[in-house]
Parts: sequence; structure tokens; C-alpha cells
Amino acid sequence: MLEIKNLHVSIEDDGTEILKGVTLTVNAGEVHAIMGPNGSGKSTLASVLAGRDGYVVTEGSVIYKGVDLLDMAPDKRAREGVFLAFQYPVELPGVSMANFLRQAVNSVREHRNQKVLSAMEFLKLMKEKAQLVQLDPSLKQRAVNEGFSGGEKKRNEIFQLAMLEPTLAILDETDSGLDIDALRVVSEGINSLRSSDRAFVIITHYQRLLDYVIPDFVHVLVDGRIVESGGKELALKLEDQGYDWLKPTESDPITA
Amino acid sequence: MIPSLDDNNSLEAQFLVAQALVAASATNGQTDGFDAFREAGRIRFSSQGFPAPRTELWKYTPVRRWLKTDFSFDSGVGFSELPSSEYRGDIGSYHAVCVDGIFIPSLSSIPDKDEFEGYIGAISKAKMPLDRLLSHLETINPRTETAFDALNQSFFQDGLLVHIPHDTELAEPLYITNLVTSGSNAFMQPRTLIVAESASKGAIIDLRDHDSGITTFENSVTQIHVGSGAQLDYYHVFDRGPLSHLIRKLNVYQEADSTCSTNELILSGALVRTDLNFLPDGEGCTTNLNGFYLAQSDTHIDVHTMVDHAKPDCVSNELFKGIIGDTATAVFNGRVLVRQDAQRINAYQSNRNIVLSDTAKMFSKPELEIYADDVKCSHGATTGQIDSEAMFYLRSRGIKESVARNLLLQAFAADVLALVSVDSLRERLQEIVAERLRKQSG
Amino acid sequence: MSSSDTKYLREVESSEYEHGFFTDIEADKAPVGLSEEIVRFISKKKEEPEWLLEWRLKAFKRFEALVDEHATPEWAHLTIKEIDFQSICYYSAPIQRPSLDSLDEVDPQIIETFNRLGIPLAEQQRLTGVAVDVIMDSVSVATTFKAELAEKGVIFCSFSDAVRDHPDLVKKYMGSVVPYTDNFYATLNSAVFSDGSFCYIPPGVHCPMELSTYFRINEAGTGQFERTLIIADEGSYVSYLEGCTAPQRDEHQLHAAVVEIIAHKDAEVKYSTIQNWYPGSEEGVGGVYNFVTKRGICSGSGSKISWTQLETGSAITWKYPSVILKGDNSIGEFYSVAFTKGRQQADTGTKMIHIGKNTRSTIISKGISGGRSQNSYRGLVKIQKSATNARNFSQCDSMLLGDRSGAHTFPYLEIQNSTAQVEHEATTSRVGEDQIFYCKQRGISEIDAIKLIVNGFCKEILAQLPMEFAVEAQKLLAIELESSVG
Repeated sequence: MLEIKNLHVSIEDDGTEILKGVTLTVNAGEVHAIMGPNGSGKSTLASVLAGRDGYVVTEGSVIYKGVDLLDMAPDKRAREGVFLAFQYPVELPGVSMANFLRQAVNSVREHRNQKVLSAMEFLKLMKEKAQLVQLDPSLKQRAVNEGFSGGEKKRNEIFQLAMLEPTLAILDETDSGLDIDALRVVSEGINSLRSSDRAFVIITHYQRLLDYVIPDFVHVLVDGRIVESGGKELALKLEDQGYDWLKPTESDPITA
Repeated sequence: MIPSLDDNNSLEAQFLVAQALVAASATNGQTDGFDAFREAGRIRFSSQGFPAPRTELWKYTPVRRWLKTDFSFDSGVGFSELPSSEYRGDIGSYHAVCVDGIFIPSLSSIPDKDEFEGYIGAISKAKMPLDRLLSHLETINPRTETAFDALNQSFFQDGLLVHIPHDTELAEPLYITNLVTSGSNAFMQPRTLIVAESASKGAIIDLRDHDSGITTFENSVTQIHVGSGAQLDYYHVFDRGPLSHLIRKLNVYQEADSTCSTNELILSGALVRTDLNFLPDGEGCTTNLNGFYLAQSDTHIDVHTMVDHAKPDCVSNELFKGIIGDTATAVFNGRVLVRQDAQRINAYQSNRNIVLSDTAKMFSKPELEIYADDVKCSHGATTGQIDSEAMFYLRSRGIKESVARNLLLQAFAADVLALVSVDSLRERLQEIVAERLRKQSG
Repeated sequence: MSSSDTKYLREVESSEYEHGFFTDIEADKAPVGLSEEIVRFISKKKEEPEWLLEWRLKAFKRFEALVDEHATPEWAHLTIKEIDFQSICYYSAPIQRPSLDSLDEVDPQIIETFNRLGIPLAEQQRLTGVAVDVIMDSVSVATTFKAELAEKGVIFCSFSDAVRDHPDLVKKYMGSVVPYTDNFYATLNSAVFSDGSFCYIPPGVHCPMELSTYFRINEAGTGQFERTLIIADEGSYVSYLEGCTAPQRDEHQLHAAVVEIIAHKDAEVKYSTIQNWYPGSEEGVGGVYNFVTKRGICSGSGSKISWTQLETGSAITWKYPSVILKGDNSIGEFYSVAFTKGRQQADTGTKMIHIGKNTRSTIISKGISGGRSQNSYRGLVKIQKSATNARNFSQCDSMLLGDRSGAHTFPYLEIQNSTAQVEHEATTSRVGEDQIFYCKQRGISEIDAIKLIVNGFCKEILAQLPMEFAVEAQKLLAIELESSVG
């Protein structure tokens, strides 16, 4: 479904290279975890896949469902089924959740040649999906992310994931800032959305989310490169030993 | 509304007559290099005239009212010794004294060449080439020019120059003491030029605090040039007592990546009108402009500020606070202008006032004028009184009402005074303001 | 940063003005120009009593003096081409103007005009129960629901009818809030006003329906000078709506209206406006010059006047709906959205004059500027010595949609009482890149994202409008946005 080949990405403003040749293949139904220390390029990878401005791809390619993903505008990607759960969800003052999501859901549905939902159908769907992450149904009148607590914002992202039914869901540090109860709610939400035709890329610094959402593959990103890949046991090893053993050090013959 | 200059009774007439005498005596038959400068000032002044009664920029300060006086334009008897100052403390080696705008070496203490490579002294004796001097003196932002600037220019005889060369630091804060000698109704027009060259650093404290007990009128111009990457802190204190009048223009010109921080403190005066103008004319500038005014008895204070963001990627922070009591009037008119293409500007402005009596007046006019779209600008203005909840809280702890009031007023002034970075000055200011407030609330 | 910047900041494309058609109705016009004869002509045409003619003539004398002094107001942040007051026609009435009792008698073409404007008069009358007074080229052509309102004692009629049928009320209140000497354009209006709406709510009456006036300039080269006078007697309530359109024309048309509101003890008046006069072409050709004086007085204690406006039209808007808070405990409110694009210029805001004790005012203003437009908020909050415990809160936010537009804020806060609490806040920013990206990531296109965000920005103002008006307002805003960021 997603094929990233030798991806090099720099920051547009100052040319700093963040990703230095990432290669990754994600198939439908798989859950991939991408771990790594702060500043290793995890969030940059998520941003580039979703099409955020400010990055330049200098080398490599990203093929999604057989076409060039990097060629598409961000809203086109979203309509093609790429969903990014933001690390820092954006507030939209005065824009109600209902109004916002109805536009989002219907533009995605239209693109998929699905029937546009009526107001009633939409509200019903909203109510149903909100339960998944235990969001208060009164949220439909609230402005998007405005006045939401940190935990509510993250649950709201997963709720939107459920509403938009993407084929590729990228979760950027969705576990950060969550207490243990909220983490459980979010994880259960994610697990219930796992399916054979949907893939997940979960970006996280800590292993604890992976206690609840068991990944098929774990990749370690250090300094813009995937330095280690493995199964779920790799996450436990990282939890145990940290990232230092993966970092090139001065005594390390690899960099000598 | 241009005044007819044929009309000898016009307000402008006496100034133009005096100006002709000054210009003639300054050159004494031969040029002193500044005659064209003076003449340009005279032409602009006579074409503009003093602000007409309903001019928007003088809306709350109908200045002509104060100008209907027979002024004297001559200096009086000088000072044989330096009068004391609450603000100055001990005199160190960085102290310039001007009387009626003229630098007086005998009263000043200026570091010698080994200690400081720059120049502190009379403009007329500066080693800076005349054309460079003139180009600094002639730096005017036409958006903010007033008739008073032009008038000052037309009367130019001499002034103070502080020149901090490239990559040089003023080892200590420089104090400038501005004295006025003259007989009653003196109209003096001092001028100060501060040039901080690129990558230089310094702090300057400009004091107008000597109260000679007579009516004075100063039309002062201060020009500051902050070179690229330079850092300049500048403080101005006005506290000349109930008979003093000040019309003041501060023009700050900033080059790229420079930082200029100013604090304007006004504690007394019959009339104080200050126009503080900042032109960050390079990318990456930081401009901090702060001030505090205490308007008591029948003082009239009018503070105009303008930050003219001409180039992208700059930051400005502005905080002005005022306490207005008795029958005093205070005006704050703060303008932030972001020109077209000056993108990514962050500009913040805040004006907070406490009005203590029903006979006091506060006019606040914070303005944003934005022609670029990628900006973050905001301003806030509040006018109110001492928080009654806080008063009650203090009194419920057994504190007397007048003491509680004083404490809260001090607290109100505290944050803007805290922005003064010269420790000794800040401490003295805090004490002086506390003392004045004690009188106010006592 | 990259592509999206240029896309949504793209220069405003010419938008088709939806209401830009011209109705071919025979009109009864005064000769072009302004003179004492014209003033007498208008008064005679309207069969006015002597006292009103005298009032007009006093205003005209005053206006002549102001013109001689070149006393057109110049403090606003506006660039105005000099207006030739002699090239305007000051009176134009659709010819068939019998006194009408029902809509059936109105010229069908006028009805058609309003239908095309989206104001299906008959429809509204039936479905929504909104009483409508229609002013076309300054003359009232139809007032609906007269009978039903009369039952409650509510008078809602054209200004001319009020002069004829209720001269005492008109005489007592006209000019009491906006005297004919008030300002240049109010003086002009006082001399030449042709018609307008009049409304009186008797004591204790809660007006059973929204009252609504639609204004339309139709004839070429005509100015529109209407007057509205609303009197809410003790303890009464009325909600009043006003809508404006004008056909697309290459020359500037002048609109100089006066609105006066009097709210007696415990009365409440809510006045809502959707102003959509023709704004001129993208290059600034044509468009209405909108110079309006709107002012209300809370004359009795506990009274309330609330202004809500959505300003999207006019080449130039010069307008400061104000409240004089004379009665103790009275309340003034001003809610405004001003949207400018193309070469439009708006200088709008309010004045809140606090005189009575415990008076409160709230100002919330949202400015959105696109294209090469200039959009200024100008507002005065004045706390007089007598206004013990007065409170004001102002919030003025500006949003920029293009890097060639301007957004300005000019508040005047004048405080002369030590118990006053006055707070003003203002922000200026553009639509956040991060906000647009967030929406796009959810599959929403850029235009829709901007519409969503701008609508959110204006939400608290639009929420102040009566329901049926709010829908219209939202639609209008969407059309304006589409044409300016498309």
C-alpha cells in the first residue's frame, strides 16, 4: 500500500537535512511502529507523508496505492485515504465540530463515490463513533479543539480517524501527554479500527502505547535513518535498554 | 490652516523673528556648516506652522494654548556647580552635563581616550565628518515629523553627541544631565544625537529632573541611531516640577539585527508632550518601548508612540502604564504601523491606566495599522481603578486603607519599572515613585 | 511558505455582483443638482407640512455653509474622490405610487425585483411573519402587515405616512438624536431626505414580529437619502432588520442615511443590518458611497440598544452606529462584521457615550480584508464624569486574506470618571497556515477551509442576528469569500 524508497527530506527554510534515506514498505492490514529518540525525524516523516509545507524532498520516492503520493495536494491525500493524527491538534475558533467534520466526511465520501450523508445520518454516525473513544456527544457544538484538554484533543483525533475511515492512518505521538486511563481509551479505539484493509503507522517515543496496540513491525529511526527493524520484541528491548546502543558513538567502529 | 506669516500677531511670528537672530549670530557672518540645516528647518516650520486646533495628532493637547506666551530665547546665568539629583546617585566617570542644550565640559566627567574610544561632547567639536553628522541630524521619518522638530532644527546652534564606535561598549551607564538656566518663560531647544555603531553596546540615562522653580519650556529633539547588531538601552526621566513644559521628540532609527530598549518616565510637569518614534529599518530588529507616567495636580501628559515596521522579521514590545489623579489629564496614543511587505512582524502593545479621581481624565488611543498579512499584532488598553477585591483583602489583614492603596499602586507601577535594566537607576526609580505615590494616597 | 500561500493570497478575482440588475420602472425624478428649489420641490412632492419644509431649509443653509468651508469629514482612513453634489439627483420615485393597502397593489415589476433579490415579500409575509417596509430609490413602496401591527398599537409605516398621520411623534423625535447640524452627511440628509421608515412601539408592547426594511437604489445617478426613526416606549421591545442592495453601475452612487432610535425606560431595541450595496468593480470602478449616521439614545433607565451589522458592500463605508447611554443601568451593544475585498474601503465602528450610572457597553468587531481593500475599525468609548460605575469591553479582531490589503484599529478611549472600567483588546493576524493544513488533512479543500475558518471567526457576531437573517448573512459571506479567495 505504501512504499517509501530512500527518502531524503530537508527543511525548506535552512536546508537542514532531516531524513537521510528512509526506506519502508507498509502493506494493508499491518501495524508499523516507528520509534526513535527526540529529533530523529519521526514527526518529519509523518508531516511529509501528509503533505505539510516547509519540507523539501531532495531524493527518493513515496508510492501510495501505486501512485506518487508526493505529487498530491494535502486534501487530495486525505480524500485518497491518508489520515494523520496530529501531535498538536490545531484549534479552529468558532468552527463547530459538527460543521467541520461534516464537510470533511462528505468531501471524502464524495471522492469515493459514496452517498453524501444527510444531517441526520451524519449526526447519528457522529454519536456512534464518539462512543468509541468516550467523547461526550455534546462535543458536536464545541469549536474544533478549542478549550479541549490535552487528552480530549488526542481522543478527538482518533474519533476523526473513525469518522473518515482512512486506508492509511499515521499517528504522530498520539500517546504523548495521556494519562494511563486515557491511553487505554485511545488504544482501545485504535484496536477497534484495525482491519485487514487498513494500515497503521504509529510514531511514538515510548513503548507504552505498544503494550496496548501490538505492532506487527517495529522500526527504529535514528538521525534520519531506520537503523533497526524487527517485531514487537524490539520495542521491549528499547524500553529496557534505551536508544543509546543504536546510536553511533565515537568508540563505535561503524562511524570511525 | 497655514498661518499667515505676514501676520505679526500669529503664534509663529515671534519664533520666526527669534530664529532669524539665532541663525545670524550662529554663523556670525561666516558659515558654521549648519546654515543649510537650519534653513531647511525654518522652511518646513513656516510652511507647517504649529498644529491647528483640530489636528487629529493633537486632539487632546491643543498645544497653541500653551504657546500664547512672550518667550525669551536667550540663555541665562550658568551653573557654577552641579545641582543634586535624586536619580543620579554618585557621579562616576560617565556623566555629560548640558545647560540649555549646550555641553558644559567643566561640569561633566567624560572618560579619557584610553578608556573609551568614542566621543561624548559638543556636536560642533565632534571629529565625525560634517556630512555624516548632517546625515544623522537630517534623518527624519516624514510620517512622524512635526512643526516642533522643524522649529528645533531651525534654531540649531549646538547639541550633545554620544558616539559609540563599532564593536565598542560603554563600560558604565552614561548619565546625561540636562539643565535649564534661563529666566522665566525661557524657550529652549536642546538636541541630542546618539550614534551607536554596529555591534556596539551601551546604556544611556537622559535626565531632565532639575527643577529651578521657574517656568521653563523645552522643545527637545533626541535622535538615536542603532547600527546593525548593536544593543542600546535608553532611559529618559522628566521630573522638572509643576512649572515646566516639555515638547519632546525621540527618533530611533534601527539597522538590521539591532536591539533598542527604551523606558520613558514622566513624573511631573505642567505640560509634557512626547513623541517617541521608532523605525526598525532592517530585518531582525527588536524594539522594546516602555514607559510610566504619573500625572498629579493639574499636569497634562500626552505620550505619542509610533513603531513603524518597515522591514520584515522584527519584534516590538510596548508597555505603557499610567496613574492619573487630581485634575490631571493623560493621553496615550500608541501607533503600530506595519508596512506592506514587512512580513512576519510580531508587535505587541499594552496601555494600562488607573484613574484616581473624577476630575482626572484619561484618553487612550492604541492604534494598529497593518498593511502586511503575515503578522501577529495585538494591543490592549485598560483604564480602571485599584482592584477593590485586592483592597479588601489587604484591609482584612489589618492594613490601613491609605497604606493598602499605596501598596497596590506601587504594585501596578512595578512591572514597567522592573524593565529598567540599570540596577541603580531602577532601585532609585522604585523609591521615588513609591514616595510620590505615598503623597498621592496619603 | 510554499504553494498554498500564493494560492489563497491570490489577488481578488472579479466577482459578479449578484444583485447587479436594473429594474426598468418609470420613475418620477427631480432635476439633477442641489439648490433651495430642489429642497422645496422634494417637500412639495411629498405634500409636507410647513414645519418640515422649514427644518429642511435650515439644514440646507447649514449644508451650504459646510460646503463653502470644505468641511467634509477627513479624519477617516479613507481615500474619497471629491463628490460633486450638483451632479446627483436627489429625488426619484417609482411613478406608480398610490397609497397601498396590500402587496397586490404594488407594481408587479417591483415585486419581481425583490424576488430576485431573494426577498420574496409575499412569501415572507405568509411564512415568516416578518413585517417589511420596502424603500426603493428613497421611496417606501410597500409596507406589509400594517393591520396586524396596528392591533397591538405598533405603528410601522413609511416616514412620509408618519409625517402625515403622526406628526406629533415625528416632530417630537426627529432630529432629537441626530440633529440636522450633527455632521456633513447628516445635514445633507436632513435637507433632502425623501422617505424612510417610521416605527413606534407603545408602552409595554413586545412587538409580535420582526420589522424589516429593504433599501434599494435603482435609478442611475440618484442618491438615496432615507431616514429611519424608531421609538420604543417604556418597557417595549422591537427587533428591526435592514437590508440594502443597489444595481451594478459604473458611476458612484451616494447613500447618506440617518437612523435615530429612542429607547425609553426599560425598552429594548435590536437593530440588525446586512449591508450589501454594490461595492464597485475589482478595479474600483463604480460602487456606492455609504455615509450613514446611526445613533440611538437609551434615554430611560434600564433601556437597551443593540446594533448588529454585516457590512460586505459599498465602495466606501463610513458608518458608526452609536449609543448614548443616558439612562442609569442602560446597555449599549455593537456587534459588527466588516468584509472588504477588491478596492473597497471601510471605516466603521461605534461610539458608546456613557452618561448614566452603571451603564454598560460591549463592542465586538471583526474585520476581514482581502484584495487591495482597506478595513478600519474606529470606535469611541467615552465615560463622562457623571457615569459612575460604567463598564465597557471592546474586542476588535482583524483577519487578513491578502498581502495587499490593510487592517487597522483606531479606538478612542476617553475616561473622566475614576470608577470606570474600560477594557479594549485588538488582534490582527491572518488565517493560520496550520489551521488550513489541519482542514486539508481532513480532506477539506482550501476554499472550504478558509470559509470554515472565517465563518468561525465571525460566529459570535452572526449569532446575534435573528435566525432568518443569520442564514442570509452566512450565505452572503460565503459568496463574498468565494469570490475573494477563489
